[in-house]
Amino acid sequence: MLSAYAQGFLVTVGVLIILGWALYLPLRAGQMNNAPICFMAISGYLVAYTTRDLHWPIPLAFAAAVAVCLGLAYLLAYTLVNLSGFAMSVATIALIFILQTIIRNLTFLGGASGFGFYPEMPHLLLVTCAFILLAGVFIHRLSTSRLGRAIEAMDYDPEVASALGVNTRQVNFFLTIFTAGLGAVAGVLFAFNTGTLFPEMFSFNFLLYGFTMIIVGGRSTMWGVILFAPILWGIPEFAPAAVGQWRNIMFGGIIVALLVLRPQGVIHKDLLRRLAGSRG
Amino acid sequence: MTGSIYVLAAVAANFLLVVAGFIEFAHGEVVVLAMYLAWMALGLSGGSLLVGLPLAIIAAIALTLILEPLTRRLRQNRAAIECLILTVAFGLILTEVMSHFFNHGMPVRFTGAMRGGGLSLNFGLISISAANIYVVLGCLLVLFLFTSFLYRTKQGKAMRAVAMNMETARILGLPVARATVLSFVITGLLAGVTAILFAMALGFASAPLGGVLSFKMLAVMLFAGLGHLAGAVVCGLLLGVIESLTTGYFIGAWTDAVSLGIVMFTIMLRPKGLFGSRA
Repeated sequence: MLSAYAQGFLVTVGVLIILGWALYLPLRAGQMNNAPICFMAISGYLVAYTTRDLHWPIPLAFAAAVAVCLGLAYLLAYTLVNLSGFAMSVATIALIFILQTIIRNLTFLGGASGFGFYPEMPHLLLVTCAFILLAGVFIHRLSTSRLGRAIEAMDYDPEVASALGVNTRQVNFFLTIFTAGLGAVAGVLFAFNTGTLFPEMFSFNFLLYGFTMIIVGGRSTMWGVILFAPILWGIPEFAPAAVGQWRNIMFGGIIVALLVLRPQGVIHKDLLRRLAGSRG
Repeated sequence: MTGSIYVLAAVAANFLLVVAGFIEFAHGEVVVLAMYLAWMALGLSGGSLLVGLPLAIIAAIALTLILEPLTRRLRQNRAAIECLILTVAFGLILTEVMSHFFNHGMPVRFTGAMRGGGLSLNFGLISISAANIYVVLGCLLVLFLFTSFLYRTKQGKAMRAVAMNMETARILGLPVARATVLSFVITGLLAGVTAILFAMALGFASAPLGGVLSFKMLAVMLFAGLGHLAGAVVCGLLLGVIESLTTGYFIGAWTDAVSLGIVMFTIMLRPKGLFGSRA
């Protein structure tokens, strides 16, 4: 039987894996879409409010939070699909700032003082593992599908991909909604794991953690996030407090070092092909 | 007044974008760290501007120049997203350095000569501080000198040629590598001047300010159109006016939401910005 601390750690790692995949997928298409963090905030606060103040049962609150995020993502996708490169990354970072400001000014969500809520999700770790398994299987199947090859083609050259018949708008539309769903699930799990939400939680820190895992793990495959999320989160967590307080500097330094020395990351497609080839 | 700061930051970042081909997301953090270093120098020298101001400029140039070798390979491979992530990470490192190593993470205050000596001009009920006047005049002077450099000097012409088409400039024998390094130096110089004017305008510096400035700078760049220097001037001032009006007319802290919301709305309607992209 795991201690509460160990469970909390593992759920946090699970949340980071799901968030990492949500940030990884648009990156595979050559886009830096940070909107999953916004949907993490929206779903987290929604599930906290509906369970604490409206006394909704947890499964209903969970489903409603994800459904609302998917609906908002559907509307957002109509505008985001027209943006590319820097415009998309800046617009989605703007959303994070805007959302933080809105939450800070809404007193019924606790504002800047935070929103503490007490309902606990039973078997939170099992639920987290189940979602990781579901999302992982889906993303793995996606990467070997026609849509996955279209996403890869967009990364190499969106104009050539478009000339070859890839509907880049549709692919971006799908990615915006799917990653919003992943972000929403991550937000609900994060809310139940943390118990108190502050607007500042959903900010550049999550961007930093997510992209560290992607850059270190390798941005061309999904496996790097799974391997490095527990390592990168665990080092400052289990290290002495004097080391742990430098977490953000460590993560920033790792990103800079990897991008300069090994931009393809630790695990990349060539390595996987070589490993597969060496096994016959 | 804050519009002037946004203008300088956006013009510097746009300039680096068109010459070196990447967006320096850490520009705001470089500015604020230069402010912190100026504060430290002013404290150690008894408030001497002759020590504080040059140190701010030298620090900003050095911090910006660090990015040149770090991003060189990524720029050559045209890895734009990776460059952006690297500068975001670099900016976060600078923010953490400011939080841990300066004044125990507390904001630092500028007084005395850095705030215009506390003087102000009074027109009836309207009072304008000397610091605000220095900021606006300083911004105009810097823009004039920068524009003169770009359009009236040989180096400026070379940099404009590199910005237009790097390959053609290389074929024609222009020193592309030197122009790129010089663009980092000039961007750092502009960051140093921005730090001085920002210190005068605000009167304080805090670690999170860098991230906010970087982001507002990017918003102005996209609002105007990436790489559009003149557009950045107009849109930087416009953003400053929008923020001032929001602060005056809305109850609560809605400034960021309203101003960024307007920028986002514009970007979504016109993805290439109000004046069109030049990068």
